[in-house]
Amino acid sequence: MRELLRRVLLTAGFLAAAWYFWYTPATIIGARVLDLEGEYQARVARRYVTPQSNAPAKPAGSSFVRNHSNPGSPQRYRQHVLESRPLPHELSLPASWVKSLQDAAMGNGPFVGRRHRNLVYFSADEAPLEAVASPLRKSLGLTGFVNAYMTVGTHDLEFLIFPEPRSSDAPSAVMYPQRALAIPWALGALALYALLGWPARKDVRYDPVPVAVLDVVAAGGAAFLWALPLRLAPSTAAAIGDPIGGPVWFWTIALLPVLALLSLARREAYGIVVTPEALRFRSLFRTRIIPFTDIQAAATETPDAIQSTITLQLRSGEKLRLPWAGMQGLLSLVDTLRRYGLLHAGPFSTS
Amino acid sequence: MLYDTAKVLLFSAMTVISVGSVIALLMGGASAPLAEWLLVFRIVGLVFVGIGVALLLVMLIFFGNRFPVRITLEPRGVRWEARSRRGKWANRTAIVAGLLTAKPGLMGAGLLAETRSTEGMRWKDIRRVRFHPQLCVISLMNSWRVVLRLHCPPTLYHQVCILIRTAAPHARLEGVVA
Repeated sequence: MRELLRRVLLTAGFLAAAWYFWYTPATIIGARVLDLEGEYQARVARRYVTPQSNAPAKPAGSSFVRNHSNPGSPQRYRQHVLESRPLPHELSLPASWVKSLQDAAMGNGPFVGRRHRNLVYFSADEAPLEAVASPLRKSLGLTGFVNAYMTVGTHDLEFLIFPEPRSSDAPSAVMYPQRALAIPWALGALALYALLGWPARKDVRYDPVPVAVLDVVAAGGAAFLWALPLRLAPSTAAAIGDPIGGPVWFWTIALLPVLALLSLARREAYGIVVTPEALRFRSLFRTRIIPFTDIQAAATETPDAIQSTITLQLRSGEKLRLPWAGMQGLLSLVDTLRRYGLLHAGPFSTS
Repeated sequence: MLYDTAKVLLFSAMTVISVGSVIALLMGGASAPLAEWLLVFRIVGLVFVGIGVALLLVMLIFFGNRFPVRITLEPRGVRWEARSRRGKWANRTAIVAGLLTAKPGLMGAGLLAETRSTEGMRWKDIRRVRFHPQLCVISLMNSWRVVLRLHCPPTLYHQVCILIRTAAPHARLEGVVA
């Protein structure tokens, strides 16, 4: 039972680590402080300057568009932008939050780690942005544009909503906010696996090192298949919200390494303790004691021409086959059987 | 077996990294930032981890965690023969498939594996012998590496130990001698 428990804890820990590693919020919002008048001077005004050179005349159409879309002044440009997709006026954001946003653009302040290029990213359920998230979604639904604007004090702000967080450039601290928990969970699972595996006395057992390696590989494989749909979906909520679309298939395949773990548990649990009076056979769920007086004879056999075994013939007529491949400590068993005069010459013996 | 596989993969990865690093340095890569060097090392490491996992799956699924061999102790030395029918079938399939698809790499892999299906070592070439009584394994080594590992039936382990000590008295013995 302990072997099963070890592997359950190992796998659960790895699955939890994978969950925390790939968990993404359902929606991400990017924000920035705008300088619309400066933007007008730097980029927009230039489009409306009449070329001074003798370059060939531009088509009349583009000239018509230029003349009729020219805001005319920075103030009018600002008004035009803010009124295009405004957020409700009753929304308010703390001035300190806006100041931190501004500082992040300069490379300072508490939000600097959330910045990528000119946007500062937040999860939509973080305060104080959870009030902005709903109107943004509504604006997206009505206009098809991901961005909207609001003014707080003297600052103009632009917000962009990313309903598929992985389509944004958000830094991993925002995209994967719980990633720091992954390693402690994985290490904790490994520690529990190692501590619970403190070996009970077994003279004859399977080599524990390959079993441990395969346990970790199988648990890692199960975690990989468990995490794959979480990584491929736009967000964790999207993955869970559409189980038939992906997760169920991967999670079903993840059962294969789990089955391998069950087999490994059985292998690790098997062992033989050689005492002066008897052999104690340990398996996953039970222990069987066979006194030496119950053993009629022992010999080596090769039942399938490939794998040889040590076969115990019991006085009750039962035959117990002990495959020796991969097992360690068999010399103590062989020497004990020889000492009791039970081991007979088999097909491999040269004596 | 896992230990030997891990050793081979580690040495192969280190060889690839070393050779690649020398080439990069000769081509003026010394000025590249450390992050780029670490990225290359990480990629090579991931590739070899992937190869290791693939090898593990082949051992477990294709070979069923079994590989029968016959080991013969002769007057001249030790002979090791692979007895896996799956292994033989896979080698021959690789040779034929390589021929038919004009892929010399595939054919070469099959031929190499086929030539390695029988190996031997003369008693006089054995420099060191290491005994592992817990596993009933005896490692036969030349001057720098393990050449053969003899997986003995536990009922024959003592006799094989005595035989080897008699046939290779010049070899240095290590581990607990049965």
